[in-house]
Amino acid sequence: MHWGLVFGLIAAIASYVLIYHTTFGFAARVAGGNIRAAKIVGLSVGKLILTICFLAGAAAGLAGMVEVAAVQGRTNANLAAGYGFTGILVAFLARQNPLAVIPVAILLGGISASGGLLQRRLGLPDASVQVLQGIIFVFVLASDALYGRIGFLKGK
Amino acid sequence: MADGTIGLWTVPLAVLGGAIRVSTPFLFVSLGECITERSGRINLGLEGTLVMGAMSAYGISYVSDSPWLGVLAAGVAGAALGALHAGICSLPRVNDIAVGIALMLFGTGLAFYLGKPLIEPTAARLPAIDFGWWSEISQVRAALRINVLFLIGIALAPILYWAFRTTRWGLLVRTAGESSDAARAMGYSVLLIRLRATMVGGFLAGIGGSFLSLFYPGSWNEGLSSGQGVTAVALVIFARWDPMLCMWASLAFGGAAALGPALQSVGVTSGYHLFNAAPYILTLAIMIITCSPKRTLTGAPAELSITR
Repeated sequence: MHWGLVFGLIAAIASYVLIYHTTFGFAARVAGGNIRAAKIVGLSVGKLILTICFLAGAAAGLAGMVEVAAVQGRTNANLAAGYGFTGILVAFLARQNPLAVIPVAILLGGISASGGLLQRRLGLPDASVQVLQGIIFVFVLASDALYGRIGFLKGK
Repeated sequence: MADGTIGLWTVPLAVLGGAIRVSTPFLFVSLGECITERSGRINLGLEGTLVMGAMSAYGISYVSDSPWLGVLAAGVAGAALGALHAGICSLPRVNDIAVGIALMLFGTGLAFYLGKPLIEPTAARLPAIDFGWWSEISQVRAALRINVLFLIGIALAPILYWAFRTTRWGLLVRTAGESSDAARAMGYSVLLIRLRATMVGGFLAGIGGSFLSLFYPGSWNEGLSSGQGVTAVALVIFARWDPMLCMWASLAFGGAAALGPALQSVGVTSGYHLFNAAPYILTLAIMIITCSPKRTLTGAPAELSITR
């Protein structure tokens, strides 16, 4: 265990509060939902997008800091290859909810970490984890097509 | 220019050679993505397709001793991945960008998984045509050793430009990309057009991958592609969805990528990694100069999920 997880948890909770419990977050959700409506009610969409991009970049930079300072302990050229893309997919799987990102990210991290075990115990190549992750992502994203089609899951 | 030494002329020559060598995968992937995006869909998975193409080309070339069969296999593998992307995206409410990233991970993972036994052996490589026979200088000869795939790619750009403008097929792809309602009203299946366009795009991206493993750098390992697939997708936006501009953008990108090693070879070693960033700086600079807050991207297909 290292302090990176604490950073991640705090960042997730902070962005949850920011998106769902502040005026700024509400404005951002309006702009994300319908950009024309946001412009009509007088929100400065450009400024919103820019600020959100700054925050997103800051969060990604924090992840890089944790990777260097707590996991690797040093920098090298091929550090953290692919975390960015997986991160985008984690956000998709969590349906853009910062609190849901926490369990999804932990699940995906667990699958990645199981790579070493698969390699030692079953003699599988280390890329099998990547294949598994790819298959999971493809199936979960494709299941978006079932959204609202299954009776007992329909809810309100 | 005595004794075959050409001094500082090495730099532009190496940039030219680099533009020819490095740009071929960019050329194929960006032309393929251009077709896919013109039909109204973004396939971000071309990075995975590229790596998968490189692996299958190397494997088939190793087994059959025929590099051209390897190129064909790479294209077929790419078309299969394209069909997978198009098939999943045909389902309602599925986000093509997210599926693309998922297929990128899946494709690279699968290529590494299947390609493990291919790291050691050497496969038959693609031949190069020597266009520098008239020159005594070795650097000129090296720069002008051109692969046939590069020539095919260069020829493909004007053909696509012409096909998009004048052929029935090109018009249909553009209709599906600009207004799916219009295509449907004409009685064509938009999903089928996009399936075909994505498969052709995957086919071309696979061929781009075969260039990586069969010509330059010319071997199969897991560090083969350093994000060329993703970069080529960005180049399509940079080139405003125009096949001819895609070609020029790929060439400029390849040339800029060769700047760092070229300067190093004449002794300019300070800032080597900074010069390696030259293609990205160039792309960013042109994007910033040509964009405007007053209008959206010109030439963007109206059905793309980023413009809709």
